Amino acid sequence: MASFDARRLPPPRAALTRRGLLRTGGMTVTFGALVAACGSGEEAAAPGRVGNAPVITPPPPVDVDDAVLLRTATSLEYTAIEVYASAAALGVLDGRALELVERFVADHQRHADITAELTSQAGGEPYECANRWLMERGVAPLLEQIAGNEAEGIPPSDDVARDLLAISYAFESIAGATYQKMVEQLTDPQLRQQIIIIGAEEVRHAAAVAIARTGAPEGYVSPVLRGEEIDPAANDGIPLMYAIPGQFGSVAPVEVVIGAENDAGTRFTASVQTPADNAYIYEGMSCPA
Amino acid sequence: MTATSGKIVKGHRLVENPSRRRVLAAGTLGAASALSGRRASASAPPTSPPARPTDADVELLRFAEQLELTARDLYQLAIDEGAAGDRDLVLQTCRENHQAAADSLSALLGTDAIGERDDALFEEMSGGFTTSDLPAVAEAGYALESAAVATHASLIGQLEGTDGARTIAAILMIESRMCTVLADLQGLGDNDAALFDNGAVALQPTTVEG
Repeated sequence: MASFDARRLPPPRAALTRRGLLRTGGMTVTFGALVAACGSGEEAAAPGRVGNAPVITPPPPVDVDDAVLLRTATSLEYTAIEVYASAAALGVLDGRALELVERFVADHQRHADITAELTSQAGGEPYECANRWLMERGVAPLLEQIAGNEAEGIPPSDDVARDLLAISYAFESIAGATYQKMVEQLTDPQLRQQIIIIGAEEVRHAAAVAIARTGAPEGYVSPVLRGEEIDPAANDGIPLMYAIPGQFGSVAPVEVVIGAENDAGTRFTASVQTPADNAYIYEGMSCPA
Repeated sequence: MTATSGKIVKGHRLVENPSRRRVLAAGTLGAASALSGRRASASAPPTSPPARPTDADVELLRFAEQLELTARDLYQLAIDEGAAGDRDLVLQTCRENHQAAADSLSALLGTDAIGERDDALFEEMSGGFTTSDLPAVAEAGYALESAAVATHASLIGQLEGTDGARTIAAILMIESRMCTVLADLQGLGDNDAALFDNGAVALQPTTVEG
């Protein structure tokens, strides 16, 4: 074990004199200049490497242009369609909830067709399938909390219909937020107009789900807008949904609390967010065969 | 695909580990280009949209500000008539959200902000709000919000600056949600067309005096 020998330290005063500071600074600058002069430009900025790890291959450069954003939008629409197909397959939705889901699926297919067409117009190739990244990392863990997974020790939800509506609300809100965010990312104002119309329809889906789930008039307006606080422990710890959650459209993540209560009295909580760089559908990516 | 120094990929010049020599060389080229008034490369990167509102944007944003202030006053008219009663929060929320929207546009416009409603539009739409009947006001509010959403979408298609487009988009999204609430409030909760469709026509900006 390395030991620390205080006797080898220079006297404190010596390290703090003006001359000592200048000398130390001068050494640093000189050493820096020496390294810069000796090293090639290619290697100077690379960090030092220790051991026999393979050389890191830099990721290919990618552009996030209008076509990439529109391809990602199409993939989101197909992701929503797959989520609703999974929800319908559980067979617990009926009545008004089932009618809403059928309407949403039709709207998402129409939106997907529009964004695919806009992709072509922007010079890209439409991406007409679900976003695998989101399906695997975002959707699958949520659906697992509803159906349960015995091998992982996850019990089935204690209220499947409630949880499906919570997922629907989150996805519709985030779909709208994604289009809202794209308004400042797209370079063509005409494209911005086309996609914000779609986004406006997505958040109307979310508003309808909130009213269906929370009830009217309770589900119309968030108490936060009236200056009231929301008790996180109320309603069994499951946040209520509101058709009008704020004064402006938000691009912030939406929290989803679903599944059966665990021993600690809490439920599975996830944060659904707008797609980041790793969820974009870049040029060259194609639907699985 | 591997990044190669100086290689042009889709209009973007990729430069790895810029050395002092390269920086100096780039500076010289840039200076020469600036002096000659020509671009250094024929395949220049696509032009990014401006952030701040352009002169043309200012007129559009002033129109949007007036629309928001008009909507605020229309809901206030209905509230004064007693339509909100002592418990309905939707009309008050609509009024306050339109005030907040106007405030955000005013902040964006600065000294170009108007701060006044469009009297002609107010007069044109006030009939539906001059009543204490809540479902009737909800119907008038639904028409107003639908028109506002269509108008804002149209503005987004015209705005050049991203600051203005972003602000209008945030306003539009909450007004779209308000459409669904106002449809439900007038008893159309089972009518999908009323809940989700917007057939309204965008209002057209007129010359704004200020």
